[in-house]
Amino acid sequence: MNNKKRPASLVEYGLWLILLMLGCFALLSMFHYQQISLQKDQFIQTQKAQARHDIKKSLIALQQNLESITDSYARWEEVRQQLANPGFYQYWRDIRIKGFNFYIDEIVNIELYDTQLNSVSNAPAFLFPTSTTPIEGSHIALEGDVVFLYVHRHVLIPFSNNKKMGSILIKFNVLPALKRLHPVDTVDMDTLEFNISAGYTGSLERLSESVNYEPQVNEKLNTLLKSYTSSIVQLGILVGIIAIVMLGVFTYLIIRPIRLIVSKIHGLTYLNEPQEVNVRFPHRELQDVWDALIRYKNELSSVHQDLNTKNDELWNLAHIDELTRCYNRRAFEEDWGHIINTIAQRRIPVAFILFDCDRFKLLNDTYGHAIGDKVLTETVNKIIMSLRTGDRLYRLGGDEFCTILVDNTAEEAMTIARRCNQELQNIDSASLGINEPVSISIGIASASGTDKINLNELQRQADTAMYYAKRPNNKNIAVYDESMLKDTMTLMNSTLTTKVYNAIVEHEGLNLLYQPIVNIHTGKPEYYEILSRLEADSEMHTPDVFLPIVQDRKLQVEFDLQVIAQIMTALSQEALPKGSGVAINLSGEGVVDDGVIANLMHLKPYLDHYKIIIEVTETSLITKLQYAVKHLNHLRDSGFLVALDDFGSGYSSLSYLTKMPIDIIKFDMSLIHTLRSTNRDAVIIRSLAEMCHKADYQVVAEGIEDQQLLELVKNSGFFTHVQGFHLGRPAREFDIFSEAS
Amino acid sequence: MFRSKFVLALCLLFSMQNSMAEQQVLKLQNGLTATADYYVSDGKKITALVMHPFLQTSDFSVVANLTETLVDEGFGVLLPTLTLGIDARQQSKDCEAIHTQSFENDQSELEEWADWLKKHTSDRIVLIGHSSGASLIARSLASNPPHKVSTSILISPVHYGHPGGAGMLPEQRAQALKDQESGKADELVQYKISYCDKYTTTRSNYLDITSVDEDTMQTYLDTIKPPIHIVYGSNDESLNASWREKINSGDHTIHEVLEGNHFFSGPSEFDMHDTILDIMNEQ
Repeated sequence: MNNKKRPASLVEYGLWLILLMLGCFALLSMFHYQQISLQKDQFIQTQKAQARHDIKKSLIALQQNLESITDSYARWEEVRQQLANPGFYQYWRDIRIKGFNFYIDEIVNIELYDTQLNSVSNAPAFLFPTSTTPIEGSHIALEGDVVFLYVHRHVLIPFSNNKKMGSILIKFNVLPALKRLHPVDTVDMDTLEFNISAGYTGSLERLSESVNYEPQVNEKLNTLLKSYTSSIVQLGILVGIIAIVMLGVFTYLIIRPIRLIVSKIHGLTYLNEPQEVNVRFPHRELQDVWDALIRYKNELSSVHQDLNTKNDELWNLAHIDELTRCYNRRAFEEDWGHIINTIAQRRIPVAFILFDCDRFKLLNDTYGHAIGDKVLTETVNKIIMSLRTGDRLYRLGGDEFCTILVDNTAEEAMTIARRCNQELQNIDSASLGINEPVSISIGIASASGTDKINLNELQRQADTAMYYAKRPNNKNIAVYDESMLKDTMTLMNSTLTTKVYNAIVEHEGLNLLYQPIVNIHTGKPEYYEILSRLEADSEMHTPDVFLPIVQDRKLQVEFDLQVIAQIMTALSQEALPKGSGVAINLSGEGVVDDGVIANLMHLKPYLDHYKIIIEVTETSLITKLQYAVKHLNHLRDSGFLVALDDFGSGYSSLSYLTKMPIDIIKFDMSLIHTLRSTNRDAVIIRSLAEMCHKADYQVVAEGIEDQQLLELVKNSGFFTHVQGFHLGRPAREFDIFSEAS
Repeated sequence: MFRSKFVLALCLLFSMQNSMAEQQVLKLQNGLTATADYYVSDGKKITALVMHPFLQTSDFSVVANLTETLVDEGFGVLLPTLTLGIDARQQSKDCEAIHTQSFENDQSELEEWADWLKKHTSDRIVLIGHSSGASLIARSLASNPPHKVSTSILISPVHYGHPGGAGMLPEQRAQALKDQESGKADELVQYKISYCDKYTTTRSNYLDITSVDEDTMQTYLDTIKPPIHIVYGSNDESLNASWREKINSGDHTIHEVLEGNHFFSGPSEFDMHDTILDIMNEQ
């Protein structure tokens, strides 16, 4: 997991920006609110001072107003009427006075007095205060908790030169009058109260010094503050809404398209998947980005497609063999590695089949590479036809192929191998331009669920089995078993390989043994087949041990030359009695080698005293047949005889036989042993020998191991010579010829 | 007619009075002081005593304007203000004020002023009253025919009885009579009378005022010796058909001012003044 911290998204940035904006707005609003609150406090202090001043002014105005009202009452004609005729005074005082234009509700009582200050009423509301001098004026009185103002005025007689008719005294309730008539805007009139004690004297103006009040809450200021607060809240809401709208717009215009583009870019990873091309974005810039992206994606898809094609081609080049069109070694390595990893430790049987074209090098050298390629291609075609659907055929190199059968046993692999062999027999060699039949050797190895090490052994085991199959007398198909390991070990034996080299280069360790070939008519040895033995570690190794090394190391020619050299030495030393002869085995490579032929020609002087027979196997003659025939004819022309060795162990084609420049046919011991049977096989062998005999070939029966077989050969009447342990084992020349002498 | 109107208009417009009022103070027999504006005649040997209507003063527009017109024409005018129980009354009296004066008190004040005028001028005297002032003059002339009164001009005379009078609630008067008989004559009661809804007075006073009904007034008019000129507006709603018929049936001169209401508001005031002047000039 990638622990690298992912950068913040645009939404997060947007939200932080909004929060920052709202925070700044809140701080600014709080600062302004605090400033306004300070101003408000200062304003209230100022207002308090102003309120006291206003109260004073209002009290002065109130006093003037109340005195003016009293003046009006004093001038009211009905007052004079009551002073003159107080018959209905009580009615007038209690009811009628309220009808006067200047009446106010704050008038508590009105009382009229005569010039002697006696009330005109028998039941006055209040007597004229004794403490008050009978002059016009006013005074304050605290009655209970209520402050009253008494205003006294003289009532004058009209047209009497200010002669007094009486007096009027009006009692006002000060506080309600002040509140109603002269309210102070700067004072909360509900809180206004007078703070005086009994006996207080003074004017209303002085009363302003003894008032308790609360300044009027400045509604405008409060309204302004509320309005400001409301405005801040509304502005905050508006800013919030705008921020949210902006975030929405930002999301719609920027984030959503970017996310869409990002998702589309992720989608572009799958270049071959169809993309929604006609995506519409809310603004031109991102639309251009998207269009450019689509163009880029299309170009990338095209490049990717080309790249895929190239990759396929490259893969094919890397994994397909150009000539045979089967999988190559790289493909094999990959598949094999995959298979090993897949089935290791699982109980899944695996069979490994290794195919190798027989004598392909000789065919290639004989008929040329074009023919060799055709042979190889046809061989592959037949093998592939034999395989099942899904089975892969790999070319490991040269003429070596293999296939891997997963979940198949060795028996099932054998079935496929046989099918291959059968198919190959259907190849028309002539159509390929060769005379020899096309054949392959097949090695099979199998394992049933094991570890990688053992699975990796399958290749080597199949290779061992394949080489085992190539050996004469085998059926071209071999399934690996432990016994084959020894042979393989031989090949791997470095000591023996060193001995082979020493024998060829240093002329050490190679010993020639002579096995007599007896004339069946005389019963005496007529010539001797030279058989090679390699001495190593005090042990004599037969050809089946060291010849594979010679073949594996491609030392056939050198080996042949060494054998020829030793024979020449023996002949020059007259180790063999004159009149006898030697049969020299030449490898297929030696037959077609000019050097070998030239060395053989060095033996020509000895032909006067010795019969020298060149033994070749039909297998060795298949490759470069024409060249081989040319050399053999040259040898025959020079006095050498040519023998076809191991006849019957290979193709045994009669037409093939007729083309061979040979003098002697040596029936392989497998054919000779068939004479023991009583069925038609023996008849065929006898008939074959008869046919060869009649064709004027000398016919040699190999593998005579007992008298019975010898008798059978003799009785057939068509063999001219016999050879085998019963007639003489291979031995050194001095052991043979010293006994003979 | 048109000329006189034009002259009146000019006089009113420029307020060019040809003489200054003298305020007269009269100590009445009841002890109260009464006042009056007195204009001495200028060239015309006729002085009018003009009486204001119910609860008003000499400043009431109908009588004040008429006084100006008369004075401008050279007539002398005495324009008193009834005290209505208030010493030296100068202000109109509210309906809700205590009205203790009786019709007789008013008549007495009128007659005292008439006597005062007789003493202070040799001109012939014409009594002019408007509304209840006219009624007061009629009652006074009917009971005490004065000397030197050559004629009387009653402008929009009213009565206070039923039906159609100013005191037009018969059940109210009946109740007052009943209460008076039960000894409650001097208690204050609020009555509906004339334009007052709460005329505050004693039952006896109320009954005294409302005793001047159509028939009483007709009797007064028929009794009066000097010639009587009655001037009223054709649109005066205070004069119902019955009262107007009785006025017209008497032996006095009727002057109906077209489109004039009770107070002769508007242009009819000039016609009323012309009518008064014509009457005055005929004396």
